[in-house]
Order: sequence, then C-alpha cells, then structure tokens
Amino acid sequence: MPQPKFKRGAWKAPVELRAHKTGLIAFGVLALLLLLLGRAENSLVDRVRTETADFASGVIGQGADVAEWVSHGVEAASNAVFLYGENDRLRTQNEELLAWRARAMELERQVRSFQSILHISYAPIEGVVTASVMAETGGPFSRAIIVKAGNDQGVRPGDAALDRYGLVGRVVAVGQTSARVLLLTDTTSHVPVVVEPGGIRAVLSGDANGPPQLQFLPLEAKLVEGTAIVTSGDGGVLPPGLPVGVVTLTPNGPAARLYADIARVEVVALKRYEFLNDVDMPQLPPAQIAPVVIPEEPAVAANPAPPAE
Amino acid sequence: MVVSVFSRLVKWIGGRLPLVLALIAVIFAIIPFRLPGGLEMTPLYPLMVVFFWGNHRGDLMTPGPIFFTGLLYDLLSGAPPGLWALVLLLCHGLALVLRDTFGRALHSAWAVFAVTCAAACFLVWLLGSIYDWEIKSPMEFIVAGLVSIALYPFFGVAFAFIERRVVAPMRA
Repeated sequence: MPQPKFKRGAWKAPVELRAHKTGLIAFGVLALLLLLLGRAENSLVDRVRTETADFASGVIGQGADVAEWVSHGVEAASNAVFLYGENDRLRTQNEELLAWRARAMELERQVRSFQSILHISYAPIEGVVTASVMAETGGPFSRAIIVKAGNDQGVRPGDAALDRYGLVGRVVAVGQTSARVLLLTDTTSHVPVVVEPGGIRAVLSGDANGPPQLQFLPLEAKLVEGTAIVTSGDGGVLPPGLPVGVVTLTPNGPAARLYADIARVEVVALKRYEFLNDVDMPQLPPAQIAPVVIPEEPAVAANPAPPAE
Repeated sequence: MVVSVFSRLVKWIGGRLPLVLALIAVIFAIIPFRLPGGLEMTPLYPLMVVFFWGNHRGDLMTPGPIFFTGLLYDLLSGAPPGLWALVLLLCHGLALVLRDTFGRALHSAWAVFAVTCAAACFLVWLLGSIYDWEIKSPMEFIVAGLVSIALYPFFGVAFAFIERRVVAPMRA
C-alpha cells in the first residue's frame, strides 16, 4: 500500500513574518501587557485617552469637516432624487409641529403660573457652552462622544450635555480643547431620574442591547407607557428637571425612550450648574431656595412624546 | 551631496506614507459619517490599511506601525488599550499566511480580506467580552465587518494606485 508523501518542512512562514518575528512577538506581548494594565489602572487610561483626544483634536476636527462635507453632498444628491416625497413628509411634520407649538404655549403658561404660586427657584445655570461633536466612540465598548470644547471654554467634568430635545449624557473627562461626554446609552452610565406623575424615583442605566433601563424602582411602582422622565437631581450628579424621555415597557422591564436623538447628535449644549449647597445661601431670600414641589396636576403625565423627526 | 540628502528624505517620507494613511484611517474610523435615512457607516478603515500595506509592502508596514495604529485606535475609540493593537498584529500574521496560500490577485485578496476581517471581528468581540466580563452583542461587529468587506475593493484599488504611483517611485 503506497504511503502518502508528506514533505517535512514544506510549509514556510511568509517572508515578512520570518523577518519581523521578534518585533511581532515583542509588540504582541506589549499589547497584552497594556490590556492587563488598562484593567488595573482605569483612571490612568482615561487620562491618556483624554490627552490623546486633545492632542488629535485639530486633525479630528478637520476630518469631521471633510466627513460632514461628503455627508452633506450625499444627502443633497439624495434629496434631489426624493424631493417630492420629502415635501410631503415635511408638510405633515409641519402640521404636527404646529399642534405641538400650541401645546407648548399652553404648558408654558401653566408653568409660569405654578412658578409664581410656588416661588420656585431652579438651580442657576452658570454658563452654557455649545460644542460640536468631533468624534463618536459608538462601538460596543464605550458609548461616548468627543466634543470640541474643553477647559479653555470653561467645560468641567459633570456638566450636563443636551441636544435640542433632551439630555444626551454628561461630561466625564475634560482636556484643554476637547471633552468626552458619556452617553446615557453607555453601560456605565447611571443617572438618577424621576418618573412623573407621582415622583417615582429610579436610576436610568445604559444597556448595550437596547434602550436605557429604569432600575431600582420602588416595589409598588406602577409605570404607565408614555409618562415623562426627568432627572431627579439626587446625588448631585445632574440638576433636577432636565428632560430625559418617556417610559417604554419592554420585555426586559421598564426602559426609557429618550427625547435626545443620540444616534445623530451633532451639537450639544453643555450646561454647568451650581447646586444649591454650593451657592452662598445667606444672600438668597428663603422663598427662593424652597425645594421644587411637583404639583399633583396631571398635565405632565398627559404629555406625549415629541414627534419623531 | 544636497541631491543625495534630498533623495534620502523623499525615500524616508515614502516609507512613512503607509503609517500616515493608517493614522488617517484611525481618525476617520471614529468620525461619524451619516448617510441619508439615519444610517451610519463605521467601516474598519485601520484594518483595511494594515491589511493592504502589510500584504503588499511588508517592509513598510512592520509590527511597530501596526501596533501604534492599533493603540491609537484603542485610545480614540474607547476600546480597551492594547485590544486593537493585538488584534491587528494577529490579523497581519493571518493575512500573510493566507496571502501565501491563495495569492495576491484582486479577487483572492478580497476573499483573504473577508476571512481576515471576520477573524478580527470575532477576536475583538471575544477579547472585549472577556475584558469586560460580559457577553457583548455581536451585531455591531457583524455590521462593521460586512461594511468593511463590501468597501474593501474600492480602497484596495486606491491603495494599489498610491503604492504604484507614489510610494514605489519615492522609494526607488
């Protein structure tokens, strides 16, 4: 019976592998060590990330301009093709928005009257910085954005980031000219919120596989789909009353359908708040620092979600 | 003498072009590029660059530049530091072995890239899941991998043009 012929040593590693064998092994080991170091020294890694983003912010900004230019070009070409349908869609949207305008004006009148009755003083906004989004780390590891504003513009860690609809996240690291905003959808994001009406307190936690989940709800809490969620201000993470989204009931439990268009956020307003315990209390008359009381009025509960864009 | 220094400088710049392209690829990989209808494209540009230049100009895309590209990608994209650096190095080795087996023709290069890209996505998913000790949703990796495979021929042709018309004359 003939034996199959196996030529010993017939296979040869590619010439590049043989030439750079030492380099491959050395850099591979270095990468592994970095992985282990990153696990142990998270704060150091965060600092290096911020410094790197800061250093590269100029180039990233240029790249973002190019990407935006190309993106607008593609959109313009696409709009020209679908002009008729787009007109129809805008007409419908305009009608919806007019209805919303009337509703907003009505609510504004109600809010003014409540404010005058309760002498509410909201936490003072010290400054608002508007920043464009330079880069997204929307991968499976981290859901964050890098914005084009940093220490130089007065941004500080903890600032709230909002788009034109609602809360997007909060600033977690600040460089000289850039800042990293942790999005509400990141798994490490935990924001104290309150579900209205009834003032049901919960923690909104990012979820990798779906909308942010409402956790640590009281046992007896009964949530209704579509009711409003705002920040509670607990723990001094974020000021109270920032619009977050509405309750949506999913198979995994109650979650939030965010007002903010996180997938398409291009510009954010970074708002810095001074909490009342940081304010020089004696200078304010007692009526102005009264706690915010959520009235029993069901107006907020009936407040439906804003129309889809 | 001046001519000699100048030609050496040109040669040196030509030798750094693949790394510069890889760094540009990292920058574009973290910039949101939106298409009409809310679609967002995030191809693995750094993998494409490392794959092409590693396979065609292994003398220029060596482990050092590959490691540096991967590390920058990790730092800017929010991935654990060292993850993409390690995966790019491993995929570089795999791509070279596959290239020697299947050849360098465009269609076989595309097939080899597809296998390398699938391996990269799987490795990043696996190592990332182990790193964070939670099973990551594979959907984003699958989408990024498929988009990268679909786009590779265009980038491959562009890189081949740059290699033939820019890098090779500069290195001559």
